[in-house]
Amino acid sequence: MNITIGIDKITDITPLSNLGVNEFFCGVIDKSTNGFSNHRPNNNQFNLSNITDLERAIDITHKNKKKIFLALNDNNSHYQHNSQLIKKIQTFDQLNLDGIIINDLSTLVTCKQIKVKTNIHLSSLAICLNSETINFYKKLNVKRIILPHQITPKEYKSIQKNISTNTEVEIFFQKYNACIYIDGLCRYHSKGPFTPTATMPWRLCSVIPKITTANKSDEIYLPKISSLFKNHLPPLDYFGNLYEFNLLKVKQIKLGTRGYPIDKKIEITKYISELIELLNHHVSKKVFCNLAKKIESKYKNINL
Amino acid sequence: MEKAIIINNQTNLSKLSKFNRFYIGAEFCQNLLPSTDQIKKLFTNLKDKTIPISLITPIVTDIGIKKIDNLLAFLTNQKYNVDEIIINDFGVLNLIHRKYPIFQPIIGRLLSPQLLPIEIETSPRSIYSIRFLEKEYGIQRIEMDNYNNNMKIDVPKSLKKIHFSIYTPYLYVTTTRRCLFPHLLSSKPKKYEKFRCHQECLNLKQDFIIKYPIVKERFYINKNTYFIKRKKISKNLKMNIDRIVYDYL
Repeated sequence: MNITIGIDKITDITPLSNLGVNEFFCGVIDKSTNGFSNHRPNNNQFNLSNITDLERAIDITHKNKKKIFLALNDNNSHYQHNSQLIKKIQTFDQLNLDGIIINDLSTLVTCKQIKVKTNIHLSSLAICLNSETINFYKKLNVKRIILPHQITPKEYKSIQKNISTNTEVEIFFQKYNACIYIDGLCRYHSKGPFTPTATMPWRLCSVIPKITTANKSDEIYLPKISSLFKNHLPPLDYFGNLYEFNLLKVKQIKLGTRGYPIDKKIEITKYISELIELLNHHVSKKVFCNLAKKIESKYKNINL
Repeated sequence: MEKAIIINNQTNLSKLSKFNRFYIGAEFCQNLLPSTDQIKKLFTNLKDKTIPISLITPIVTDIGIKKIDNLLAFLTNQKYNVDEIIINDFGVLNLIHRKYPIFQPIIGRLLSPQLLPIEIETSPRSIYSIRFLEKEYGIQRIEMDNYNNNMKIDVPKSLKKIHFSIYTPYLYVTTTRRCLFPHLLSSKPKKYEKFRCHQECLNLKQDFIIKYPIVKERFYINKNTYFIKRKKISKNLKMNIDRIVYDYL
């Protein structure tokens, strides 16, 4: 298993390459919108500043013999005319990227029509939870499927039987990117259909709400439901799932670390690299999970 | 204007005379897809057997695909008046295209934001994706949420053949595969993978309301999904809206 990690600065690439990361993904600030451009706020905390920086990032990555992908995974709705979207995609296609990450059908269809040369990765936001969906998207020249955050190894095992063997698959490490809500169908972020009365965080779910009920018989559940909103739901079995995905021969593990300082990215990379090293020793699942917990306890700066 | 309503076995079927289409199925959770027996019971109880019916489907895993496959096989062989399948997962569209061309597929409201950007006045770029679905999959109708009172959409002339539906009074906000309700009824904390759905959501009245301190609207929890209530429909929709879907929770 190999690491695909999110970056936001050119200077992230070399130290992470030296730690064994073999793939990077990034976004670029899109001057045509004030909103989102790739499922992150459109600013330089999360994105490279411009195309020149992207070209430099590609160059540095390739000199390190690694790969780099560009995230275009928003629904690109700010492009009022298709010609603008085509121009944007063509600009990126002329760069030496190893692939672009797309989620929405309009962008995928446009890519097929203009016959882009670069590889297309289907974002987790497109939510492929079954083999029929993957086969639908494969007709649009998708090379890699990035599985949704919450998919279980059991669900993937069923999918694996029914898709072509040349389909590349990538998973998220579920300690980090396992939101409660179905990302891709969630309108809880700052461009949601509600009316803010104060400055919004970029995801409303980070705010703790008040829960009430109009029904007396349901009042007994209020303390518990309120605590679920405070603490979120019980965690996923991220070590066990990582072990199972590895058995299923998933090759790439994705870390959504865009926006975090390089120190944290380095710490997380070291932590995941140790887990991958442990996977390579082919120990039992129980032994892996126990040792993985010990590895995790060594790292103090790995929570996002 | 066609008036449709989402119904299930709990719906009081005697008060539906003003509607001219029924939606059955589950929009947000594959565990709530009806069994063939439940569908038979529902049809038995319907007064007007001639009313057209749409099967509404959620986002699904392979288990859900199998359930829908079985349901469609059953509905194909029965003389029920099911003529449409509402799609909220492109995998279901692929399944219908491969195996059940007898049914008319409709793009549901969870997928339509990919085709109809709702934040801008007009979007000629959407033409390609809608034309693609029209040409390759026979799509003739797209359903959408009542997203914004001031929402403006001006569909280009070349798409004038496409019909649109709008949902009211509940506007979809978010949904989860990690449903609250098994946790509410469980005494001990468990890992996500250990929970099994027993349709606990059907046993609660579910009048839970979420209020965020920084948002004007209240959010309503219904099963695994959250909604906002919005009745007023924008007058700035220059498109062929000829169906309203009433999604009373």
